[in-house]
Amino acid sequence: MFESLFRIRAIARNTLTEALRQKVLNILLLFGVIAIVSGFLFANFTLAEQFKFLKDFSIGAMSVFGLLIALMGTAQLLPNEIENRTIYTILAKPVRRSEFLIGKYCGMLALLATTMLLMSIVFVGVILTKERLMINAELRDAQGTNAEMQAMANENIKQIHKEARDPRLIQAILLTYAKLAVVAGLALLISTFATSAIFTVATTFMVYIIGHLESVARAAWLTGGSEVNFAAKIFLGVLSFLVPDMNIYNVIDEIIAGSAVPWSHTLNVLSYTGIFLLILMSVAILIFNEREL
Amino acid sequence: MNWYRHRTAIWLALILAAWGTLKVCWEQGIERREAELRFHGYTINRDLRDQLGQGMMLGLLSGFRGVVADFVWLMVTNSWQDKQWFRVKSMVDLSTTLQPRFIPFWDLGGWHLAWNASVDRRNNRDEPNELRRLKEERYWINEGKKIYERGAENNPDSFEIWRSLGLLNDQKLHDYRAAAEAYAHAAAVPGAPVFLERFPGYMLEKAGDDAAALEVYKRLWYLPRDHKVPQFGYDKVEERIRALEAKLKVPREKRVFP
Repeated sequence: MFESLFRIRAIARNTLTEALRQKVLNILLLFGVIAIVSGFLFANFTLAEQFKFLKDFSIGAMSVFGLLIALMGTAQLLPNEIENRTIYTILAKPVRRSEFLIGKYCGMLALLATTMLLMSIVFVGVILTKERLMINAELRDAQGTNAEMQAMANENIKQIHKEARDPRLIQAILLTYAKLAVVAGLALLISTFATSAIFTVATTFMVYIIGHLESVARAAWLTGGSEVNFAAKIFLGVLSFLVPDMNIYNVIDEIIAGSAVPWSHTLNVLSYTGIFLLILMSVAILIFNEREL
Repeated sequence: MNWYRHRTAIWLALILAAWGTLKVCWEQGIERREAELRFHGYTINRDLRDQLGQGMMLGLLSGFRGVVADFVWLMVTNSWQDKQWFRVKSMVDLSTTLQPRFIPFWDLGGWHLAWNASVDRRNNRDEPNELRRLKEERYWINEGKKIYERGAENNPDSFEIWRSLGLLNDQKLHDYRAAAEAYAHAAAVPGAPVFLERFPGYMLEKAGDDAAALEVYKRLWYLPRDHKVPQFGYDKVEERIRALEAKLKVPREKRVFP
């Protein structure tokens, strides 16, 4: 059991090191620029709007770059190993195919965690700088004014603190990571039977988009009634059974919009993600075990 | 049939059938919870696609609802600066549809229509007919009111929209009873500023219903609170009670301040 875990860890570490050597983290530079620019671009808007834009664009950039890393990175994992024939050397050793696949996936999760962590640090840095600048502006404007204006400035400062140090952003970042983990899992599953990385990227992205419409398909399947014909019902049912509902991660937008999202709900979504990933990995292992290399 | 040869396919089918059933139930549960939390803002349909355009629709389908709503809101601001009021209205509708829980979209959207658009139309120099100008002004005030009403319906836990609705009823429609009602709603929301509690009284006084206004102030006066805390504004409450008791000629024995 422990030996198996050691082998998985070794493969994961190797996958992470390889990805880092490909200078994947250069994308962070781009992220930093987007976060900083979006932070200072909308100075003419109200306080709430400015923070919303900053959070939306930063978390959005995290999602986009994370999606790119998850898609491109995972899609290349197996084809590269097969093309370079390194997979034969690894599997010739006492390493099971399942351990190889889990190791690869864990490596990708570690890469995503690293990039998300670094992007989050940049994000927090930008938001705290914005907070400092806005507070300074409020204090400057309130200088030498009457008590009423100063009370208003104090209220605004409280609001700035509330917006900038919103602990709910942790929920948003966790959910973004969960969404990316699902994308990486889907890409790995597809790459176990795909013949090229391009196929994997295209199919995974398609499943990702369909995932955002899964709730519509499910609703039509469950409540469509006689309006939906039999063939369409079968199709919608299969879709609802197989494709993950990516809309459940839209709660990120609610968090940024200022809604109170209970932790119980976040944990429910994270549990769904966890179980879904377990199923994805099980199916991927079953297919990969049968694949002729 | 050789079961051993087909074992992978059988396992796959079993896993997917079991998971599929659990998955659908789980997703339904999450969706129900989100509906309880009022997170469901929009349904993807052709109308939405036509309004958003292809690029933004792709953004929406890729899970970037917040960013898409921000872009739509930037268009609101641009249209406001260009005084394209119907475009402002449709963009406000779109951004509030995409993110109904972001209060400033409702609050500022209503303000653009009820204040900016109405004043602009009222002062429209290209329209010589004053009656038509007044009609247009009233139209935009009502459009702003509709935004606030929908906003309040979607966000009953927000005092800001009720407060704005109160302000609109007071300053634009001069419907002081409706304003008093809106302010009472705003004040009842947990976390609302305490000064809002006095506003229904002020509005009822403006409506000429001094007796009802006095009841509002008296109810505030008898709340079990420290009357010396300046935030509660009891000096103002006392002033209004004294003034109304004198105006209404309340018998001394029934007065709060005999």
